[in-house]
Amino acid sequence: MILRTVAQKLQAWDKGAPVARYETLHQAVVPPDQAMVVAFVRMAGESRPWGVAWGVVGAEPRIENVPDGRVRDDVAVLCADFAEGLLTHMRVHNWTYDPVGKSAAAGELRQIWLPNGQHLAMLHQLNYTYSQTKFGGTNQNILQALGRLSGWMFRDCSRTGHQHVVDATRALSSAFAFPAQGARTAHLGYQLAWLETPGERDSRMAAANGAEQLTVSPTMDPSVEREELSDLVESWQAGRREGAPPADAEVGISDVLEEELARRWRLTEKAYQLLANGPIPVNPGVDSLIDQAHSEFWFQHQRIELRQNDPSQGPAFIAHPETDYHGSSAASRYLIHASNDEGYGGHLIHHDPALFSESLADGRAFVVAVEQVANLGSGRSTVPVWVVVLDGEVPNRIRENSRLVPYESRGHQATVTSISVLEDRTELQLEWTTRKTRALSCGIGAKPVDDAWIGEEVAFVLSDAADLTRRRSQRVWAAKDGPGAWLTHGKAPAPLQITYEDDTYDLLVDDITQIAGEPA
Amino acid sequence: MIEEIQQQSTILRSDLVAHLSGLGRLAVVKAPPGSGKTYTLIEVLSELVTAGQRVAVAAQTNSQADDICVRFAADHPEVSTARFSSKGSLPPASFPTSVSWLTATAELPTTPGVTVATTAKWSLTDAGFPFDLLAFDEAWQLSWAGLMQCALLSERFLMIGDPGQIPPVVTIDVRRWETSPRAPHQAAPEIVLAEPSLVADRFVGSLPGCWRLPHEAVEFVRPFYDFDFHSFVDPGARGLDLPAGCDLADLADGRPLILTVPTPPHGPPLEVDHEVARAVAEVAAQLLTPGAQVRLGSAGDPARPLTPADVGVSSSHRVMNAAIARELAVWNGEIRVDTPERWQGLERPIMIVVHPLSGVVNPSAFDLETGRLCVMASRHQAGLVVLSRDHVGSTLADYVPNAEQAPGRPDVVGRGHDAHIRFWSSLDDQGRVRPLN
Repeated sequence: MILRTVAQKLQAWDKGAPVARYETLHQAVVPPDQAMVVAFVRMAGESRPWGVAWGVVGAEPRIENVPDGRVRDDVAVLCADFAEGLLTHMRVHNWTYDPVGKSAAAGELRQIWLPNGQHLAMLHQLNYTYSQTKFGGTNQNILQALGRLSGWMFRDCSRTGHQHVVDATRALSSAFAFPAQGARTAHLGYQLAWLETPGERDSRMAAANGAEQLTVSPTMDPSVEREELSDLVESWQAGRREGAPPADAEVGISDVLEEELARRWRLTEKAYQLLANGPIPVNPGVDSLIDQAHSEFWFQHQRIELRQNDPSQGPAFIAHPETDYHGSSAASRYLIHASNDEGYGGHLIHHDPALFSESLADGRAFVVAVEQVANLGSGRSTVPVWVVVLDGEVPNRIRENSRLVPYESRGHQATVTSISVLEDRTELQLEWTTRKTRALSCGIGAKPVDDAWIGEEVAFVLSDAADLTRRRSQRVWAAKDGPGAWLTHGKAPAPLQITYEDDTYDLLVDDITQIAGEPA
Repeated sequence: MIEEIQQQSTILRSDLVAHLSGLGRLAVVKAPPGSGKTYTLIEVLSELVTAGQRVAVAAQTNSQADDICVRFAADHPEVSTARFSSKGSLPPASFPTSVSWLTATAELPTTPGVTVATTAKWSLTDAGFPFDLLAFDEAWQLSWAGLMQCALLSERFLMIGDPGQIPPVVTIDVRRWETSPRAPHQAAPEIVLAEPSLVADRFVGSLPGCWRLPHEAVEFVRPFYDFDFHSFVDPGARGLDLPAGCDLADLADGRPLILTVPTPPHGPPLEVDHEVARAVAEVAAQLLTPGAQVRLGSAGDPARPLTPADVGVSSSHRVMNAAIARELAVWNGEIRVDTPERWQGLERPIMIVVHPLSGVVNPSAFDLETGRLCVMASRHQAGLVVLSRDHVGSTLADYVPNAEQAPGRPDVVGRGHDAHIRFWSSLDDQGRVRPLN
């Protein structure tokens, strides 16, 4: 736990209520009709859903369930209903007349809000179950589409800066520091009680303690299953075996599940409302993250739905639910995620002083005093060079050739050409490399060559190599025909079989078979 | 014994040349710290170039690439050597004029010789026609994704590096690829060594001895490696001789010393441990006392006075290093203070390090990764002082690894925990763990 986190928890305790962690939200919050809230319940020990609630914010959710979550065909019908709503909401190709295109605007973003990470894991289960299923009858196509979309959403959530899926608990934890242990703030009801209960610390704490007694996870409280559902399910199964499942048992099960689903759905909707209508504005840099998210959605999902190959992004193949077996698909995805992670802070930091303070403490940002300004260009060329002084006792991650961006003047960039460590200070020579003749939008607002900078203090942020890393991801695909590819690319296929309780099975075809073809 | 080790090194080099001159397409050489891996690389490549090969060398940083060029120019001026660098870059001061400085792909040599660049540079280069061999120095710092980008450069690969060092830096969630047969974030040689289908293709060897560490220090570093190695240094040859009565006089025997600082009853400080930072400065002052003599050569070689530039300091966190640098300001920056990541490939006669678990009462997988401790414990030539809060021994004893790795993956955390315990307890058993006075 870093010092800043501890300090914020103490501030929150002192205030008696959660405090904002940053001055902006680092996540998009779309208009209500573009935010679909989804919640699941499942039987203990089962991976398939027993019931699903879905609907956009501000409207009544649709809540569907089956009498027994172990009956594969019933669950498939339930999931096909859910798939229709989800695929339409996300504007997926082939399932809507208005699919999201390659160059979508920021305002077109659609989001799925889930209560917490365990509901997110349900997307992974849907991916496993349906992406290549050969069951489902007339619903087979839509179930496969649900599996593919769920898989993409689940995978995309591990990408820094993703925007399509929101884990509500995590979103609140990112936005607020709570006066409580980290493990307890992983409960959405607990968080909301701290945030929404009026009054002083004691009343908020009491409300939070009460709220955390009710489960939010897809797996219900064992006492609910044992005392309210077990007999009903048994009775329904007994009737089913005789060809006449009792309707009253079905209604009884449905009532319990509806109540459980509705609670999870409402809590998530509240989290949305709190962030959408709360005092913390969304960071303007999030627009760049939305652009990235649209690009990911296009290249990793929509394009593949249309089966369009792309030389720089690789062929259109359906990713395996477990991992990327093909070396190029694994490395390419890894490098894209690394690139997004490298660039993430740079999009947000110039609009959030609290994030800047955190970077100062971490050595990723620093303040220098300008001592000399020179122009080393000849003729019409301009090469502004600064000699600046940094307090040698503050932490920093500066190295020769580090690239720096002036704080609040994104677009300008300078490279550290030399570092001299002196007794009480560190002297840096900086050469401006981009926007060399344009005035900075920070400090005195002069051009880099202007002597007026001498004596001024200027804050800088370490830049990243996100663009280079992205190019490397494309290079991975390009290298597949190189002489060294015998070592670096390709691997024998490893098909995965999923066997069901009735001894039928699905065979998941991995990415190698799709990319490289069937083994000889 | 030393002759035997030298003979093993010679045999390894000639086997490598034979493999890479023939049909061999892949060779991996494991090297313990200070074992002469760059020397081995240069000697092997020189022979291959003499035999007519055109070789690309990939280093992991620009300074490593420059260093390789300097050594080629000094040891094998007959080998045509080029340094391939970024557009607009200039050679550093005192860079040998006999080495060509190239910045354009079109300038790449087409005749036998060695061309050195960073892996990052090679990974975005279309060389036109392939090299006969691509050799990676410090290969355990190279990720599999990094290697894949270089597949256009050559059909044959040589990887040489230190498996005990810090693995490639990973800053993102990589659970998706933990079970991938060729996980893109893992060290490339680890994947090559684990792949059964490559058995017929690969040559695997290890360098047998360590030149850098004192003879008496090697046994403490061995637990970090899965192969055996010995010391090239004579027993008793290396150490630090301090004036009589000095608390740290036992550094004369070349073995490491752990000095502990009491852990406060309410637990160690968060982030920056100012008391330990002050302790580092106190130890540095004791070591740099007038009359301190360091022995760096072979047995019988004369000692020389210790200077501040002979001392290096390392702790895992930058904020802690900044606090230590403040405490060491009296030496005007002559004592280098840096993270273990930045110390890789470097050495100093004397190292003072802050134990990576000092202040960590609930170790995570990151904390128990042994690369940092291994790097910290293997940079010195004559003496090593480890500073730590005194809870570390009991923290390690109380910790129970959870084996949280993905199915089919090695229990890296459990192994790290074991290596940490063996390092600490072997020093403790020899009376080398004691409170700082």
